[in-house]
Amino acid sequence: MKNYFLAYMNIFNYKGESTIKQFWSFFLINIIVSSLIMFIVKKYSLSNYIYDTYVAISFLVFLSIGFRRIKNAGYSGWFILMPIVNIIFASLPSKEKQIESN
Amino acid sequence: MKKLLFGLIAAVLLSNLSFSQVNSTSIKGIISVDLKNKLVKEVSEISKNEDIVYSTINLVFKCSDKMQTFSTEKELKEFISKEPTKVNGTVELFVDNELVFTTQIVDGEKTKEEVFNSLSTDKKYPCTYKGIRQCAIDGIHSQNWFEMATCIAEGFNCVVVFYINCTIDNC
Repeated sequence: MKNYFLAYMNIFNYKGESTIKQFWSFFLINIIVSSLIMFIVKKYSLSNYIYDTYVAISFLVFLSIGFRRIKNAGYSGWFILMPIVNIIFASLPSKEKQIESN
Repeated sequence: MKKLLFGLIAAVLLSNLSFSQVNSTSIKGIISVDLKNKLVKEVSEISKNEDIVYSTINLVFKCSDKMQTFSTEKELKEFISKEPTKVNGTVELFVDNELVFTTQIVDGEKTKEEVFNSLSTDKKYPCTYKGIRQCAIDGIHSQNWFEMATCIAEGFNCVVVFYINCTIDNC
């Protein structure tokens, strides 16, 4: 949960790097929170703007944390904009670990 | 004395029967649709496939005060088919005993109509792998451009959210 809020605090930070744990913690908690918001919006017939606002904010966080994660893996952060490829690159170990294993 | 009482009760009951009036008629049935909301008519297909959703339909017509009186439902139905321009009343459509549509008929023409949201919040998909998959696909395609763009960029995250919600809604 700490990593989830940390990701929100670094919403516009594209300079640093993120670890695998930080990225996947945010990713999994984001799935749970998104599902919960979608469920509440549907159940209580609330405005869809609530869900859209959350999606917009969480997408910005996803971009920044993903950008930092892919950079940490040793590739260009812009790969975060490519569907499927971004998840594969975000799963790769950090460049230091890759060098150590070699 | 007892005989007199029974006689009176019988007379009252008979008089009520002879003056009974019918002021509504209904058509009931069951419809079956597949995962893509297409009507399924073949019985063999219905019995084999569990991915078919069944709904009871009840279409009710209620006469207004403007209309003449009828003693049987058959008479009322005949009047509606023979004199459609003299029909006055309300039509109500129930799906699974829930009112989903209503309209007022004045001299054979629709004047007011109302569609209730309850139809869209009903269970639409069966709780099977195919049903949940179809629900997620439909949900993803029904998004607006903004949601779709973020969904494409996020990929896996968005798909999982739809699968979770479809499971909660339908199971």
